Amino acid sequence: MHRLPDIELIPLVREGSGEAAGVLFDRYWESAWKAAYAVTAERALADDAAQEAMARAFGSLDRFDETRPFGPWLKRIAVNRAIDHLRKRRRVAPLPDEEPALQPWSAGEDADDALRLWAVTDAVAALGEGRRIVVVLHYWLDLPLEEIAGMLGLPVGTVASRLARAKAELRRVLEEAGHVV
Amino acid sequence: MSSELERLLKQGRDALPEPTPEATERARTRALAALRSGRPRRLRVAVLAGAAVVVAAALGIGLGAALTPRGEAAKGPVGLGFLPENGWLVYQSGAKATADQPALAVASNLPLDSEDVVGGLAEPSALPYATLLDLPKSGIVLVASFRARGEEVYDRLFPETKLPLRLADASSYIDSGTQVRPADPLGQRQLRGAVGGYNIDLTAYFGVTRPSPELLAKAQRQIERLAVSAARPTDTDETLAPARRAASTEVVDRTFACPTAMVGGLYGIEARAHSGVRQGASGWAQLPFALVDTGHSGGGTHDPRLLANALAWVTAGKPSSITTIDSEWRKLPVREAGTLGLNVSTCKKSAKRIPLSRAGLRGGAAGPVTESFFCEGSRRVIVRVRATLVGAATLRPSLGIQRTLATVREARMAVRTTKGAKLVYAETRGTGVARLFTAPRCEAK
Repeated sequence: MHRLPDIELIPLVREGSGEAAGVLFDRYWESAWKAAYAVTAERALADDAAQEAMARAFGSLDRFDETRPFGPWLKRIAVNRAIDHLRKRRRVAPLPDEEPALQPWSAGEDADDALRLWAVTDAVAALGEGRRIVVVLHYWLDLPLEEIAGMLGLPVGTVASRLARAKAELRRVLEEAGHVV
Repeated sequence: MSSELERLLKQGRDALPEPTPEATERARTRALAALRSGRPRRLRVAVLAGAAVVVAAALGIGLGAALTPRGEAAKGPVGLGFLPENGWLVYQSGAKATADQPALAVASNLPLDSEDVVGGLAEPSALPYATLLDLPKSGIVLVASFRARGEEVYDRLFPETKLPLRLADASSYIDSGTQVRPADPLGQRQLRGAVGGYNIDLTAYFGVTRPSPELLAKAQRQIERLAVSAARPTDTDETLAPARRAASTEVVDRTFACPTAMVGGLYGIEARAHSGVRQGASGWAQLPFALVDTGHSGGGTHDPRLLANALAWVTAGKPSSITTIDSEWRKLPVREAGTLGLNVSTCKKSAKRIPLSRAGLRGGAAGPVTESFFCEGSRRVIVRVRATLVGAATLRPSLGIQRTLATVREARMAVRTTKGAKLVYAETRGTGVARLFTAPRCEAK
């Protein structure tokens, strides 16, 4: 079961196979959660958004075209839910844009490399929401600017400009910290 | 340079953290449930118009049974919620409640925002945020939770009373609870009482800070339509399991400026932390814990609620009656001390914003035995605490500390000098992990 491709697994899930559903969940949960976390930079929001995304995806499997890839579809839902949560929270209690992400501490890793990557993810997380989302969608979820524009309801030019500003800000922060020369 | 930045950015995704096992299990349960039902809703929400016929068919039956004076109620559905007044809408998340998972009910004199009906009331929190944020001056929203009695530490907060509850007995909710709309404050009133074996926590939200007598009277008329079943389900009722797993959360995010005390001729703060220690499959002998304090207690107090000299502390995980945290001199029962505490007697609210970051600090995971560090040199510090609490939680002042007994899912705490120098970062997780990072100038004790 674990080796079945999605195109064979999804019909089994539709037919009610709990095992197949478990395999599908395990295969994509982490990437969905990471996509939500990348957008929100906050565990609690990522938990909620990714859970909702998984539930929505599983609840809509009957309507899913299994000839299309499941992973990107799920990630898209997770990102949309994450953006919704950010918007909702912004209306409730705005948090400072500068809040950095929380990264895991794992002893034994190559410290320099780990610190460098943490610095990058911290710096991305510390961007304002608008810029962070564009960076995450483009660099971490590999979406082209046109698609990001469609997803956010923005002109492509605005997305490109946000991305350029975000990169300039990241460059400055990472240079100051000595992670980019 | 630009290509180096792009390469780093692309690699950055590999450094993203992973979901916790708890979040994974919750998501798995929810996803599989959605698969079975064909839709991702978590809680069944009954939406009824006050004058509509459907009242009798849905919620009304349950509540009608609950209001039946003799034993017929037990034959039908039990009711925990509102019967609608004319012009009101009522919603309920379920007809059963346990100590772990409350039943929730909402009544409003205006239609709820569509976001709340789909994404809000379907959520276990049942707090209609979107509606409250745009609540007009004439708007009223009542939110009630019903939790089965049985835990003394909570029960004593809910005096036995009789229906109808009276708004005249309510307290202002703003001082000790969350103000939903800080920029344009709502009027919030909280009523607590125990009726029919349930602790009822009812908050009335008004579109104006000081509601008029007419508004209060309107709210009171709907509160008088609050019904509580005499039949009480047990904690083992399996039908509640999905809802219990999907417990609601509330985020506390506070920043304070605190003076420090002198110890041995030096002003400074102390940071302490220890990890959790499990007891049995799901319980905790000791919760993960992190604390920042100042000065020296001398160990003279025996009041378990008093964490001497604490500026703030956080835990994570659900405590039992025997779960402890390790204070400076002895182990304290969490249910006496609180799962989260903020010193509001010596510290004052601060508008400063400090990031919750361990960048530039050193440290890591704390062990089960308390690790302590002293950071000297600061006459005042800025302390920020951000915690995700399970369930609707209220911080209440006790002995100069605002504290809660709600379970903390995860918490983070950062301390800086007033000039912004980083001193301490700590975090606690529901998995039992506590991490403590301090500035290089801080010394291990």
